Amino acid sequence: MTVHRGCDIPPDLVYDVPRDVWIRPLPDGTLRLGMTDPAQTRSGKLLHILFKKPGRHVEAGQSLATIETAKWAGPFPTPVGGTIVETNEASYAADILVANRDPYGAGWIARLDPDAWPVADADLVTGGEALARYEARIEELGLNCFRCAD
Amino acid sequence: MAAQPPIRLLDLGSVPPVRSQTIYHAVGYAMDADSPDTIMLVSPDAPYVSIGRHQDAAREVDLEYCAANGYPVIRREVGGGAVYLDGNQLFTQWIFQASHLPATVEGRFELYIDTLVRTYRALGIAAEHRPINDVHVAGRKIGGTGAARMDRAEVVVGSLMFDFDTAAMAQVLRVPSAKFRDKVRQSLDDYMTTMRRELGAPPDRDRVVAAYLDACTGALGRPIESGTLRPQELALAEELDVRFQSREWLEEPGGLRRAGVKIHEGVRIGEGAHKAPGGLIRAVATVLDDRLDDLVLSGDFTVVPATMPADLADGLIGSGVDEGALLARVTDYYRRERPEIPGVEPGDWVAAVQRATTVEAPA
Repeated sequence: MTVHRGCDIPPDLVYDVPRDVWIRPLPDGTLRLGMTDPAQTRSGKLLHILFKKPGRHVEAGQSLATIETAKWAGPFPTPVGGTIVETNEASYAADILVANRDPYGAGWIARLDPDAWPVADADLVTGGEALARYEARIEELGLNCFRCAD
Repeated sequence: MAAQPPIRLLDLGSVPPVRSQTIYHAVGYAMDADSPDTIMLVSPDAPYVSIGRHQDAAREVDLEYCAANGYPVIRREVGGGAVYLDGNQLFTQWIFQASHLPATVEGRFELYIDTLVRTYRALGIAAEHRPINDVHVAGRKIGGTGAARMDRAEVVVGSLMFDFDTAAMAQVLRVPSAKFRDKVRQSLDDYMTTMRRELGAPPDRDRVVAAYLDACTGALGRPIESGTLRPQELALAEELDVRFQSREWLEEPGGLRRAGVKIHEGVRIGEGAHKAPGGLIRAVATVLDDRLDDLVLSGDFTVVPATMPADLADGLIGSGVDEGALLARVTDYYRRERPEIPGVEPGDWVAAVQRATTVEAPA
């Protein structure tokens, strides 16, 4: 069971739960990152996203993009430091709601060449531990997820 | 949210325009695990224009007019549109540990706006929350609100509106025509209100602040204690003063495009044009809750009687903005009045009106 109160938490991804960011390690050693289902629910429908350019180096905690929803603006932070290899700017240009529709697939935000991976001091979790952490967090926040695409 | 420490109140009075923006960013970005949740009250000591995080300044604001009138234009890290601000507004800025506010944006606005509504009601104004983030008095908006994340802080900002200069607001926006600007001004007068308008005269600031703090104590269930800015907050505000006044920050390409001007959640003004075989049709439309509230039609076509565009526009007021509803009314008008207008068919008017009323997807 990967859905809790409507929030999908795929067990095969790595999560920074406090930052609401998912990471998918790719075979070439790079990392794909995006907003979680709880994150897109909490922020609401995207209105605009401004990406940092590929080639830029970012430290853990810095933003890879700035997001504006209808009522809120904020960063999309990376849990790990590295160099931006690619952004998903084209998908967002074609459909700004792509993260609201498909946060773990077509709605990915950036691909990063990490300075180190895995990261020893990062609070990252996966599988059953991720589910347990998210269940507790979702309950604490009183959150019910929905894919706010329409 | 049990057993949380008191909220720090910072009543900063009047400050320069740039500081009225940088101060809440500074408190937000300086927040660490031990920082207090903060409610800040501040007014600018001179008029200025604030633009949203991703707006393009030159596209949204008449920069020449602002420069000629001494209005600084300042980008904020909160979203939304361009707005004229001055000392007749009391900014109410919440900078809270993210975990101390509701998890969703809607939840945060519900709490924040509850305090504004309670304040207005305590002053005798029948305000109500119009979700998601407007405060209305009998269908008119009073003040604006916005929200942002700044590192570990969730920030919600808005204002208590003593008075509002609708003429200045209409002047600072970059709009496509003088007619459009007139409509913006008219709609601001029609669909916005202030404490002055509701009460006859604006109340004393001290009375408003007292009512607001009572409202916050009641809504948040926490004590509020006067405090002071910490040195690191002040230092960061001084750094941000420089950044926020830099050309690079103002001219940063935002890329966010929105058609027309939003007066409040239910009211939008737009302009559109359509080239018909018989000439160009221009439409300036005000839409209230998906119905045409006002419409001006003009163009370079030849028509008898000459009053036909104005008559047709009058006949479309109240119509839904979908193609079917508009076409039915225009076709009915043509059948009844039989205007002589070569090369302009009912569908051409509908196309022009729909260009003015359709909200384009953001870039």
